[in-house]
Amino acid sequence: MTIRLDHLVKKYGRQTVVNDVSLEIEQGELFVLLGASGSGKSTILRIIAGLTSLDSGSVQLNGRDVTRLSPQQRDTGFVFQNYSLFRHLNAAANIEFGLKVRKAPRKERQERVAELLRLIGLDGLGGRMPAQLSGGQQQRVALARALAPNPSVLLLDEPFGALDVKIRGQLRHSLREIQQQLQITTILVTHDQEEAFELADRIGIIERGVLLEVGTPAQLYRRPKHLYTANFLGTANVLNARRNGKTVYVDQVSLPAPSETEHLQNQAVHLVCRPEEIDLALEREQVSGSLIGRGRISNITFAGSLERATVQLIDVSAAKPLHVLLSPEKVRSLGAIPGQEVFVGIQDFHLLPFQEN
Amino acid sequence: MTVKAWSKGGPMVRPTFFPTIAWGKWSLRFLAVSYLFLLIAVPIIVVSYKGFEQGLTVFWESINNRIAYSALKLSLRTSATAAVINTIMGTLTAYVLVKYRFPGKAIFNAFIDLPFALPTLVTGVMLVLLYGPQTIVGSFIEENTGHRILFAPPGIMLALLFVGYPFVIRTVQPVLMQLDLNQEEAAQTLGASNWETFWRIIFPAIRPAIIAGALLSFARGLGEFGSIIIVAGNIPMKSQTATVYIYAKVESGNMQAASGISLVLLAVAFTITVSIDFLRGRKHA
Repeated sequence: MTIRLDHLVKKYGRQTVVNDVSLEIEQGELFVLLGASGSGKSTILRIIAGLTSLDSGSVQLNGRDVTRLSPQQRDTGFVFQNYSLFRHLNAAANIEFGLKVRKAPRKERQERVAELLRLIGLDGLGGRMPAQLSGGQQQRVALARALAPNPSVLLLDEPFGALDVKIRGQLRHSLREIQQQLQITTILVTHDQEEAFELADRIGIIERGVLLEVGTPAQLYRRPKHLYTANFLGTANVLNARRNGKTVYVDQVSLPAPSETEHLQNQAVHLVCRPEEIDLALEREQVSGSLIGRGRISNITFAGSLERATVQLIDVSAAKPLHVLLSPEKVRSLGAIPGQEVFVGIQDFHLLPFQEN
Repeated sequence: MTVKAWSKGGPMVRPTFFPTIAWGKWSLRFLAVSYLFLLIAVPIIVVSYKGFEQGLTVFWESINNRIAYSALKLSLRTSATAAVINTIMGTLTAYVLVKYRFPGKAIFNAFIDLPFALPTLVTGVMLVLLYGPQTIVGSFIEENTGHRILFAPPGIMLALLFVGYPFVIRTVQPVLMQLDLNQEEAAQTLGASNWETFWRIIFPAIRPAIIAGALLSFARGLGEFGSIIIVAGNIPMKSQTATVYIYAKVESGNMQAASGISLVLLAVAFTITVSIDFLRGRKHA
């Protein structure tokens, strides 16, 4: 266990920004803390690095209790959203900084800097000042600077937040490669679920200071334990339903209940279904998955490789319009136009205990 | 609107090709430049003329006599010493004001600007009341150390410390406030102690501001008159600074001698302002 957080609590005045967070992260894992802005995810990262004090709880790194230690003694590498390079030092000197304060011999420092410049793909740019580097290059230097003293954990606070989409993609890719090559335990904080999916071994969902749930990207996407998670990760269609026996009732329509939802017996539930799990067809028999009745296409928008449609269910009263993703082929076979009536099937869905929002 | 005015109110709006806006621009420039010229350049020219009117030898004699030389030396020495102390204490004060919270901070912060606004004669009066030979503090120091504060160089130092104190603080403080806090945090996670973080990260960032503040404080000291005439008196070779010397020469009607020393002070002031400009320019580059 490289990182172990026990019941972290942080309050600012009367506001609890980190509320009893416990978490264990394995050696070599890339863990993503995902949450909306202001959810407290950055505060957790800063607590681990010792940059923010905590009110109660403990932090262990590599089995060493560092709760009372200063940032200097914790052996973490930290990367900030705004790069925060030392403006008066060139790229090489920035990377060298951590080695210099540790009084590493000159030769060793130079070798390490050259090695890191190669690793981040900025070979030969060591003499550039931060102002002469692009945002993406600056963040690469910041990453190298954090890695230089060989920290036991790498902490990244929204590292790609200030970069444009294309650079962001490239940097994510490099980060994943470097992280796997070095096998360094890493926590990355982001509000971008796409980023989380692409990078994470596991994701932790933070909402208002609480660590709601932890899981692999697929687990959290397909079988979330909280409605918040379902809505936060991509688009979710949510219908009010009731589970009785082996059947789920959505209004008058009945569907076979997923077997893993046995614990939700005889109670009101939310039926959660992803847009890509909904099938539309012109004939009742052609619908794949469980039939949920008829619907009327109310809107179709082009979304690149797929098309996004909204469908108003006819046989289920008081249901919100469903979001559906359709392949071009499907659109052609349906001849889909707004106002058209179709049969709606659900291929895969998930149940969550009912909660008022 | 402009077009209407040019067309003399007729119903036909005739397009005009007179470059009205350019005229405005040029007249603005002309106004600004000639104002600067009349206000600053002309007096400088006049004083330079007066200084060199009777030839280089006379100019040289006006500054190279024992009394003038000693006054100039006293001014430079006290101003430089005061600037050094003000720079160290001012940087420290600015750092504390930006980085720490303490009770009464807002009031303290407001008080710093007082020497900017206070008539320096008032400063002189306050110092006399505090350190004068008849006062408790003044007589205590004189009896125990044998040194006089007032009517002597230490009194001048005190006055210059007082009037120059805000300069370094007010140049360094805004730069410190704009400093990216994450840079300091990055240094700390990389293992740098607070002391190393200051010397390696914060200090290089605020160094131009510190130097600018020091130069301003020095220039202020060199030009100080009001408080010095009160606390230092006007004892040639002992407590007569350059400005007081000039005053004495003007009083006795010797404008040539006054112009000579004035030119020296002018040259120093000019060097300082150019240096500060250079520092600012480099910072924005």
